[in-house]
Amino acid sequence: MMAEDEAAIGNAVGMLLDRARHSVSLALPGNVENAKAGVLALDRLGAAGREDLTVRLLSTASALAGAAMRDAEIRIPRLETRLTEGELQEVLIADGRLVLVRSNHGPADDCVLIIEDPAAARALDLLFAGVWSGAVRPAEHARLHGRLRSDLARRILERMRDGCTDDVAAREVQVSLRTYRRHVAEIMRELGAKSRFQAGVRAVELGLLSAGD
Amino acid sequence: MRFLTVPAKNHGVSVVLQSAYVGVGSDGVDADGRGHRPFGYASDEFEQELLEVSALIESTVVKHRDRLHGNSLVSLVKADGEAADLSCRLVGRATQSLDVVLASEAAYARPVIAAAAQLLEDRQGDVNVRFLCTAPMVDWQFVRKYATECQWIEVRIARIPLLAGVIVDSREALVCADSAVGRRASAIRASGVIKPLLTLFDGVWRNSVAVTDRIDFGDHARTETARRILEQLRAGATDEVSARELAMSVRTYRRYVAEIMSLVGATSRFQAGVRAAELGLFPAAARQGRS
Repeated sequence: MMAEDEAAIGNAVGMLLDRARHSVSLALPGNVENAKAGVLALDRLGAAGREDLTVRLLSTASALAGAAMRDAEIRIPRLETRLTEGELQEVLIADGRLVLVRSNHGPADDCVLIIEDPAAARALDLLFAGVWSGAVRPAEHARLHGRLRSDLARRILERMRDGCTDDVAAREVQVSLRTYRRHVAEIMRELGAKSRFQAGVRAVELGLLSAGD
Repeated sequence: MRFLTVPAKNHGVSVVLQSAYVGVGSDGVDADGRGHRPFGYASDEFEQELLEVSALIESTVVKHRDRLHGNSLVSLVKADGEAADLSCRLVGRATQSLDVVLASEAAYARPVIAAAAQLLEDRQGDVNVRFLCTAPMVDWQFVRKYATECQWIEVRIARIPLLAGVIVDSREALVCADSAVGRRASAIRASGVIKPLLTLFDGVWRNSVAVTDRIDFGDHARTETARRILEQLRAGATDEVSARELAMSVRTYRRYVAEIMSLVGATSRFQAGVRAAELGLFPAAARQGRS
């Protein structure tokens, strides 16, 4: 049964990739092993070595560790990878016009949908583009989730957002004023900000202050 | 193990089931036949299987039948007035949730916003409503009333390319988008399509900034000055450099900055940056992962 499922998925993925002329966009959920269509697509793109295709791979941080993505980075010529928070569903889009979606209504209903309806396909493509533009490259993601999301960084950012003066904030996070200012300077460096105002804007843009939701 | 496409009944959506392969003749034989079996012609046996599988689709994928659209899961809609009308009717039927994307034009946005306002009044906010808009599509009166005052809805600003649509109760949708072949709109009830639409909507939503109110800087001249000052602040320039750029004294510049800070309710420059971003004063730069 497993081998036959993969044949059906393989056919669908093959059809989509064959018809792609300019671009392929893939969204892969964090548990990549279940993303059979996506993994297969990456594998085939790697094998085909198509220089004419722009490939955008959107996934979550947990997928990075997997072999599929690492191999993709090495083998696929024009690949860009970005990471985002939150759930993703397996979606493949060719040329912004043809979409493949995995649908799981339950173990008995696992199926693959090919969507050619122009409005639906385009809507999915445009929303993908929306998520893509808010997603970050893996290197930046590592930075954001390392130093800028540490407990201390968060507490400092919160106080800055609340308009606390430096000495009040320093007292609240229990460090000396000089140490506090050093932390702030580090945070500003991580944010790529030259002024406190700019740091505030960047913090919002990178989602460091909001609940996200 | 077989493989089914059902093109005719469900416009533009082919369902590939794990357990059925039936070649249907509409597309003819695939160009190169490579990698998958060529489509053949329907025969009696195939038609029988088609019927059986259709029944399977009907029962697992279709949740509601809409009298307007008969049995179809996805149907074409005329992209002009009909799309807006249908969207308004869909909006009116919402009982649990309404997710709206407005990144297209006012001709669509205006009636949909009006329909949403009516829905909110009727249900007194008992519906979970999200509006994802580009900056020009924001109706500030609507935002002020329903987001800021009543707090029944949340409005977030996003950079999305030309797209508009509504998703009602996570079940039905109408989407309207521009493509290489022109503007197209479709009414969708296939949960297999709704689900990825919603997941991607959530993805954009998560990275978008909520707006609660519009800041009024005063007359045109003051607004223009404020805009230029905000530009300088956003660029991280020092006060001295900024004042020179704007041909004013540093003291005058700082006075303006102080006014802007008090307008956005900030007591520190960092806080002012946060507020300004949250108020959508930098729409062109909303939520980017890179500097």
